[in-house]
Amino acid sequence: MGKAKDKSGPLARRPDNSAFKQQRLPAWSPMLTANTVLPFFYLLALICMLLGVWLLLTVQSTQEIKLDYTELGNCDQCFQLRKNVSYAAQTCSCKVEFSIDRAFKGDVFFYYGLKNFHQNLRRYMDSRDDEQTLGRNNKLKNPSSYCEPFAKDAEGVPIAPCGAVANSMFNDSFTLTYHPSRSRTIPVPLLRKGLTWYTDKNVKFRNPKTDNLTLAAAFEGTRQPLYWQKPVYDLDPDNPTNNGFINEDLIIWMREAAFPNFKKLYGILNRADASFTKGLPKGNYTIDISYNFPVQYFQGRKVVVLTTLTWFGGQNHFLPIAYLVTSSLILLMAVVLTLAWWKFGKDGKNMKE
Amino acid sequence: MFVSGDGANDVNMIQAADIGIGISGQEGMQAVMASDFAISRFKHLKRLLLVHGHWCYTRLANMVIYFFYKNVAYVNLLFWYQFFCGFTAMTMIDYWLMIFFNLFFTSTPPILFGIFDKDVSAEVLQGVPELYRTGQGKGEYNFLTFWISILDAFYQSLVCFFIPYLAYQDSDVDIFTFGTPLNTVALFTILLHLAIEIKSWTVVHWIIMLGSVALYFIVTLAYSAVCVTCNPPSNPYWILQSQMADPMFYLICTLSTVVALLPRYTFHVLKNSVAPSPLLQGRQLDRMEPSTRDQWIKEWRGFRGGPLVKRYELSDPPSPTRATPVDFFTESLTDADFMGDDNSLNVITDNHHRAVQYDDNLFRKL
Repeated sequence: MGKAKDKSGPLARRPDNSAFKQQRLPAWSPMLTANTVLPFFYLLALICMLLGVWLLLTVQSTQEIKLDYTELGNCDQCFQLRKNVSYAAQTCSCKVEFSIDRAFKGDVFFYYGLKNFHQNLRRYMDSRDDEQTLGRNNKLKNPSSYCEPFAKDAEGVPIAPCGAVANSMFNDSFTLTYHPSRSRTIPVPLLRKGLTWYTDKNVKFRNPKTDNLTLAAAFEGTRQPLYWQKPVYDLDPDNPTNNGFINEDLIIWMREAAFPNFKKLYGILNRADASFTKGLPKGNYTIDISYNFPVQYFQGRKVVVLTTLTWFGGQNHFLPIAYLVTSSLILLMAVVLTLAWWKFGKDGKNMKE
Repeated sequence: MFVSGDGANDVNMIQAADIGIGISGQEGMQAVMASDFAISRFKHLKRLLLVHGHWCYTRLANMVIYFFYKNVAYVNLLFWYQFFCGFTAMTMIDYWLMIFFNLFFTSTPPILFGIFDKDVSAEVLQGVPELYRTGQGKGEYNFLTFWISILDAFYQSLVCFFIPYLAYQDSDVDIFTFGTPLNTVALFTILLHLAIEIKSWTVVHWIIMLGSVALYFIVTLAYSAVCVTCNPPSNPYWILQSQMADPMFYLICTLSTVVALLPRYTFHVLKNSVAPSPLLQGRQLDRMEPSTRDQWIKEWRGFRGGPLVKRYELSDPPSPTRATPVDFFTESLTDADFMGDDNSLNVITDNHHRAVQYDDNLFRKL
């Protein structure tokens, strides 16, 4: 039974006598029985418990405030106004007040949130042209057919940026003010840049080539989406790195949320300001809202969220609690297995190896 | 039904049977040409049936159940998302990655499982022919094992979806960033599920399993580094890279995989400790020294219906109207049978008469 094979004769077509072909490869055969597996279970329970405790302590240090301002206070008047589409051009602003009883230490993040707005519908998500927002000149005036019916306006002028996603961009704006005492007001500065992914701002979204033209001239021959109040080259005219397709609010909106209840980053507290170096002090605050986005069509709600973040996210107790629950379940299983091992396997009744 | 024959007169019988074995030799090659399998000696039938027949059945049964489970688990993951996207058939995983999942990342391990898995060694299978019964009748592929596997697939897909969902609920996560831990969790759960099922790990298994995981990460990272506008609406540019820099990704993946596989793993361990199947006992025999092993085999086969082997575990064949060859084997206990190198099938005639006396001797010896 050697490896040498005759090329002719009765044994010519005999298969190789290698370990691979004759299924004789050395193999490790693990036994899933209690005594081999118990240490692993206890170790896993311990790891899950430690992780759960650590995460719980981390989450306890976050602070969050959520305000549903759809019909809150005098925002209700704006809500009623927005029900009528003929008043869409009319501005409406309202004020929302809240107070913080414990100072927010560290970086504070200001989010706007929507409830019941499905950014994840398939036809909605298809309705965009990523090559246009990449700044490709051939696509600027010739948007993809997926953007229909938001690709061209009634006169056939192409829309930039085209599609339903850009068209439905959130357009409320917020100003936060701090009231340390009844008479004084300090505006809370929010950084409105540095909010997006680096790759979004610098790779996926680019303005069309301007050469020596202004941005407005580069967009010549296109018009703004139908629901917008300003054209895309006027989104932030003071700041050329935040204007046009690379405007951060647009980029953040275009990254479609996974679920119908979501929030998106609006600004980060500017801690360079003297009053806010440590975060948000406790006291009374007001938010002035320029109320534009109508939500009654989809029974939605609008929310403002102020929160501090930790290394693994905001105030979400699910993960630490899940780890602790899992750890107790594993511990329970381990105890049951120890009993099984004690009763059935310990004294060789079941041919232990 | 299984038949074997060597002559031209056996050809009709071989073709009519479910499995026909042709034996080449003095009577010519007609039987071999008509058969499903061909062997050269009658004595090889024993090994063909007991060893290769058993392995083939086990491998096929487990592989098929695993393939059903894998697809049900993965597709259900997409189904649960429909409740959140208005049932518009939006997938939170880029569709090229979905295609590659089943094509490249999780295809080779089960195929390898179906080729290489050896649940009990050849020596024990030949030495304890009763183990052949585990493949007949109520074997490893039946109503219960199939539907339990499907139920397990539903449970695992629920866990793999809802743990990331609850962790990312109300946050600012976008669709494809949410889909990335889902895809990764699905990969690890599916591969580790197979790892629980694999009974003998060769170096090839290790290479393929670790290679599948590596392939997943390499392909997804490469695709995410290149695709800026290549695949609307997903265009997953830099998504996996940014997820891998986020500790939340690892926390979610670990928790979901552990919770998804915990029931199956615990059930296997409990069952193997409390009520081990005959196959597991056969595998435990593999680990013994040859002399102790022979002793155990004699005891096991000698104590019919005793505490070690529960007779009902070895299911009866579907409709034995007369004693099958396996029955003959159990009655003719010879030392040659235990050694597993019996080269003759003549035990049926020669030793059958000796069988009854031998049983009495066995009882007296032990």
